Amino acid sequence: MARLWAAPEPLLVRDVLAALELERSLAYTTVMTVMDNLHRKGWLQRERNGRAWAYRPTRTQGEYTAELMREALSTSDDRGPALAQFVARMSPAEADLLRQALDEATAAPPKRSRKPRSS
Amino acid sequence: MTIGGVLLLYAIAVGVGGASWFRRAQWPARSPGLGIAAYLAAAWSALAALALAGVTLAVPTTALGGGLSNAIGACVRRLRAEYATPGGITFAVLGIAVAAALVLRVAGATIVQVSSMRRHARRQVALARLVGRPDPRLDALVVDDDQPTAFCIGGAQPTIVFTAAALEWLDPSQLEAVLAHERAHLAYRHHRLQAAARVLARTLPFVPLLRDAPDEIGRLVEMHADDAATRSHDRAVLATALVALATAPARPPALAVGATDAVARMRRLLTPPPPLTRRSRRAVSALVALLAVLPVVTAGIPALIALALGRVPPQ
Repeated sequence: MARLWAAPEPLLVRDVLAALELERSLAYTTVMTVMDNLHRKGWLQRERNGRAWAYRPTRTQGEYTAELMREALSTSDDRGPALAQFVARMSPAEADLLRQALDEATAAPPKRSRKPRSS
Repeated sequence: MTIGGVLLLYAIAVGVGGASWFRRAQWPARSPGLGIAAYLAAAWSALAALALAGVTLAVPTTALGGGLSNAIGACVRRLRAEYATPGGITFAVLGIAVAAALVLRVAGATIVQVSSMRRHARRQVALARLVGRPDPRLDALVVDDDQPTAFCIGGAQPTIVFTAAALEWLDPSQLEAVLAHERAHLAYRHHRLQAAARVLARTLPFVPLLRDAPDEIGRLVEMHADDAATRSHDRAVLATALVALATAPARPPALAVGATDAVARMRRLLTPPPPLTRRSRRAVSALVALLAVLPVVTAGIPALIALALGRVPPQ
């Protein structure tokens, strides 16, 4: 998938194979099968290019990430009970309340410094 | 009073009274595992009592009575007298309808819940594998996103996901503690308990105990996973990780939900309540067992009486 996302245009199976072979050797049919599976599952779209299929991702990596994060951060029931987030995010007012509660609770023991976001 | 009435009152008492009792109870936070068992047992108990109340209404006037008396070798008339209900056939039909509707609803809700859970989990795992990169040190997937969070997906392919922002936001010991929490969710199959709670809520959403099950079980499994994590990690470290991730700026801004839960969890981590004593644990275990069998035993009492009396040889 990374190869296809990096490419500006649809790729043929042999293009993907050529790119992957820089790292490891794979059979043409292996790559073809994988890409065909990805197509069947809806991750890839394909179009005729001469006698071969040219594949491109249905959606960008960013779109897939956004979809996963939307489900992860969702507090409603429609994401299914299998996914459990460590802790739900809260509004700034609630966040202040929680920080205050932490400060009260840790008034005596040494306070851990919270690492600021570096990027 | 007939046994059907007793079962009905029992179902109402547990289904309504049990909900407010659990909301006020402090002990589940001390032993969340037992709390989960007790809650699910109580909810099952109320549901079973309601269904069995329906069945017992139908015993005297239908073939059920004859079949049951044959099965236990008791006199039919005696059995019918023990299960007697006013209203005859109308109540019998009503009772069987209620029992059948409940069984069908539970079966339907279970099928819907399990298939939807599997479908969601499969897609979520596929998405996470697609966009995430495996981190061998954490044995988890890391997804490039600037919202710091961590989550797990239970099921056939148990998966833990951190965002890249979470790795920046947390120090290594906090990261390990959060990881232990997520591993506990997966190891204890908490998603199944959640699914069971949702089946209960779907079946009878107007019974408070069943309606509140997803929220209550959700709260308790978080505490259960916190406890499992703090067996090998520092409580304060997990508490600060929780606060760090909960208070990180959200995008879009989070709605006002869950703060009380997060505050309660953090307080509980920093000043843990003493776990239940061995004696209280035994008492709760006994309560769980009692809740599980009480409806069935109650429904069977008249049959036992009829059995005892029916076997007395005629003079």
